[in-house]
Amino acid sequence: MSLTTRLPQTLKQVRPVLSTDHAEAKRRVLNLYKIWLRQIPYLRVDYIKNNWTETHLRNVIKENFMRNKDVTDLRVIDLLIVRGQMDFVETAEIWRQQHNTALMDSKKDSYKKKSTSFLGRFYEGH
Amino acid sequence: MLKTIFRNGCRLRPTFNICLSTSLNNRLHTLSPSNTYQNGQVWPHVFVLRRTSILDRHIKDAGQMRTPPPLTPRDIESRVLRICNEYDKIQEAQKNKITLETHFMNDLGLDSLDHVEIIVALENEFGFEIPDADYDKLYTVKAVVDYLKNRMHVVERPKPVVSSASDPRYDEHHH
Repeated sequence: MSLTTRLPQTLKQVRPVLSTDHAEAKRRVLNLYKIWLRQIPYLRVDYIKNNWTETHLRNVIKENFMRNKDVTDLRVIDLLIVRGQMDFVETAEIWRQQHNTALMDSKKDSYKKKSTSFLGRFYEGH
Repeated sequence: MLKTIFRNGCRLRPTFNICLSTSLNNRLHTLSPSNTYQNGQVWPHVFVLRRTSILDRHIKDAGQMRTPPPLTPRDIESRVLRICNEYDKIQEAQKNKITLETHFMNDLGLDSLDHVEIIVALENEFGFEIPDADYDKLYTVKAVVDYLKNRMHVVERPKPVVSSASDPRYDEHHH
């Protein structure tokens, strides 16, 4: 008898961070997105020096969300959500400096989609 | 109340005086103009007109301070369609081609984040929050309209039924 058969089913599953399935994770993400959207007018007032327009802010927020669109791991998604919430609190409470809003620095995807082909994975080192 | 009546009375007195003075003046000096006080002060007709017009406006405003007419399903439809047409990403996709059967994702090519933006716009328009459990019901315009109808009916209260339950005289158990 190998070890995998002897282990109970519960031990094989990873303990979830927040959400247990993808639907719940999606709900959390959409909620976070909505919170950010609702904050836009206040952001414009709080960081008035940056002179952002509403559409620009919407685009930036969406871009920031879309950066992680390829993440499929539930635990990673949860951690990203928590980070987004922390970001939100920092921004809403004006703990950020006006020049240091991490909203702005969104240049490239932080998470690259893993290549499925053998050679691609070989080049990446997996 | 008394104050306002008093003030209005003060305001209204000049017109009364005009009537008096005209009659007096007509009797005494036929050459003097009609809108003159006894002490020679002139109360131009323009002032009187303006004051009455202001009063009329106040009366009109007071008439309009009622509860607004109840929402009809057609109102909700038109408002939802207006929101969709105003949303810039839809405008880029298809200008004014939105009907009730339009599906946000399949027909307009929006993703779920755009969908959330539409929902936020709807919340701003109709003034209540849509819980996130209902997002996946609201993918077509028709579904949105139906959902809003349901929600508005929940908000709308039926007329209070006059019940005799609180009155012990009408309680059937005591007979």
